[in-house]
Amino acid sequence: MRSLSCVLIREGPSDDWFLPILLRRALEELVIESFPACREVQEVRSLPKAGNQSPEPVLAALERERGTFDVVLYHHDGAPPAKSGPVLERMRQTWRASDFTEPLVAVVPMRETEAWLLADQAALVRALSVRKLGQAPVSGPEVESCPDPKAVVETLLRDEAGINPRKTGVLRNFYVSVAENAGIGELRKVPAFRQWWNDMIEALEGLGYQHG
Amino acid sequence: MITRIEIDGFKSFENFALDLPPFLVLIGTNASGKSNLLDAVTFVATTATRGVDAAVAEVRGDPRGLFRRRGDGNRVDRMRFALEILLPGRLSHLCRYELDLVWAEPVGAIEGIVAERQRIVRLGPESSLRWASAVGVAAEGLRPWPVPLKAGHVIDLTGMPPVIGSGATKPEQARAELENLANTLLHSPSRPGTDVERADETILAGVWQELNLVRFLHLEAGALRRTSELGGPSRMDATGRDLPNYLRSLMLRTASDNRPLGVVGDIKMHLTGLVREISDFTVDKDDRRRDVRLEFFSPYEQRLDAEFASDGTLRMLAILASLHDDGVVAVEEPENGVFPERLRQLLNLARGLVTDLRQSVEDDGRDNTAWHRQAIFTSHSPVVLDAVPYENIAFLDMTTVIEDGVPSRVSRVRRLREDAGPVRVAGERWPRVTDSELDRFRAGVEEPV
Repeated sequence: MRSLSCVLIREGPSDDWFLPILLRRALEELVIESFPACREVQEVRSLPKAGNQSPEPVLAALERERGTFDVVLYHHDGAPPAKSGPVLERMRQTWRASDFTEPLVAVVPMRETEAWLLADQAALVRALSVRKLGQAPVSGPEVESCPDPKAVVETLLRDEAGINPRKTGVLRNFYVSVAENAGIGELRKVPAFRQWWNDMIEALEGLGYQHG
Repeated sequence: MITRIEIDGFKSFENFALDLPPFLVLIGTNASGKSNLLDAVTFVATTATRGVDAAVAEVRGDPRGLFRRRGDGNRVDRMRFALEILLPGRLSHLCRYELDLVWAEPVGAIEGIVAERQRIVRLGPESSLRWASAVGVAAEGLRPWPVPLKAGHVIDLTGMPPVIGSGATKPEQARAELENLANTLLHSPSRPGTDVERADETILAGVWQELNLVRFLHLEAGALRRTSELGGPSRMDATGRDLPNYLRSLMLRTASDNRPLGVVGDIKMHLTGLVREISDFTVDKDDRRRDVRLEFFSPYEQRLDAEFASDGTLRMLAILASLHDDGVVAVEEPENGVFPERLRQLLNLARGLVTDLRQSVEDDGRDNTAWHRQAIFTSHSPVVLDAVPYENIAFLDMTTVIEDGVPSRVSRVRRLREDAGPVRVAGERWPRVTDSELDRFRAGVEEPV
């Protein structure tokens, strides 16, 4: 029985509120659609000790997990590209030069992770427990053009639901709630998410998941 | 002693298997399946000894709700259980009790849980060696069966009501008969009948008694404070009700001329050591009120009725009492109301009170034919990681299985990785838990925030 286990190297602590849950749910849909022989998707395990994403602590953290994962998910926000591009390339080169054989797949939301959080309006409505959004923010593919997704999230909480986003735990629980509810179909309309989806399929094909 | 449990289709379990050492702590976050696992042990043990209706009443949930719900909202129609059991007498061959239950609408009867298959299989010596290796106990202390019987022999109980045993009407009566039968057969080779028949009876008696001795504790302060009625149940229920009668029963069963309190003397000593505010307690029979009550003594307040004792004291007493009894005790979250250092001491104590197969029979100090003692705890406490060897800990969390294109969340169980130990171990479905996950558990967070 083929099982899929991924570890996540993420950029910041707030990404842990959203990405492990969302990516696990996305992987469930992905294997159902493209790898029906895969029978299990395990939790996406984030590795905070990988540190600030310079390659050395990342490799050290992964060394401690050696043998427990099939794919490394490497997250880095994609803005500005001039800054994120070299970071991603450096990590890819380091990974290729290492003795790890597992694939490394980049998770690169345009600008910030929060852009993906905005993609599905229905999930936002549900997480905020409102009938509808008074001032609907950008959604779908347009989220990538949003200059400051974090500020939009805070505005949503404050103006739509009357919740102070600065209170302890509010943002965290909102992120978790959206991660559990966001429609993967909506996210697949977002180019950066679609890129990750396609890269993931390529990685799993390379591992032979299509054969079970 | 239950050495292995396999569950499929019950609550959050899908093809779940776990080898159980004499002492085990199940750790994990909320809703990871720890309580469901104790429910499963209770459910199958009660079904086997008292029937399905009694078993349903003992666990959380309605009959249909016990069947696993898939991600699409539909429930499966079948539950499969298997318990492998090490019988008393340090006999090396394990017995495997298998029970298949289905949701059905029998002709002329209302819908409900129906036993489809029930049998006991005698496993070969390799099964105990595998178990001993998996849970880190020595198998040298085990000895072969006194009667010849080939491995794989099946006692098919299908068609019988899902209550194994001698057909006695009352559980207490059956227990006495079967316990007597088991001891007689094990030690009296002159009993008439073929070896196979005698061994079958022995196995039936042994399995029945092992399952009958399973106790589940989900203690509630209100129940622990209550008095027992004179002539009431001698067995403490899951909430801790009838603790006074249970202590009296333990006393009577284990008393000797020189130690009239039996193991209750040990319990007093340990309670005083663990709960410093208490220096002693008595179990008092009150003929005028027709009840049995606990009275505690403290160095400062002298006498203290149970209703004024702290929750932690009563919980500790109930757990200690159960740990001093034979069979399997499953305790839900012993840390509730207990100071962390005392939890550490309780865990250490529990490890010492369960059957130690590493000791020779002589060193064990217990009757060779005594029923094994086994303890299973669930816990959220990080203290567990420091107080209990990793080989005595199992980590539960959830994973997603895909069934016919439908994702469903189910419980999984993993062992902890020892220092520089292997990540993958033969026979284990998942890699072992690494330090990064244990760091999270220590910090008391469910995800790395």
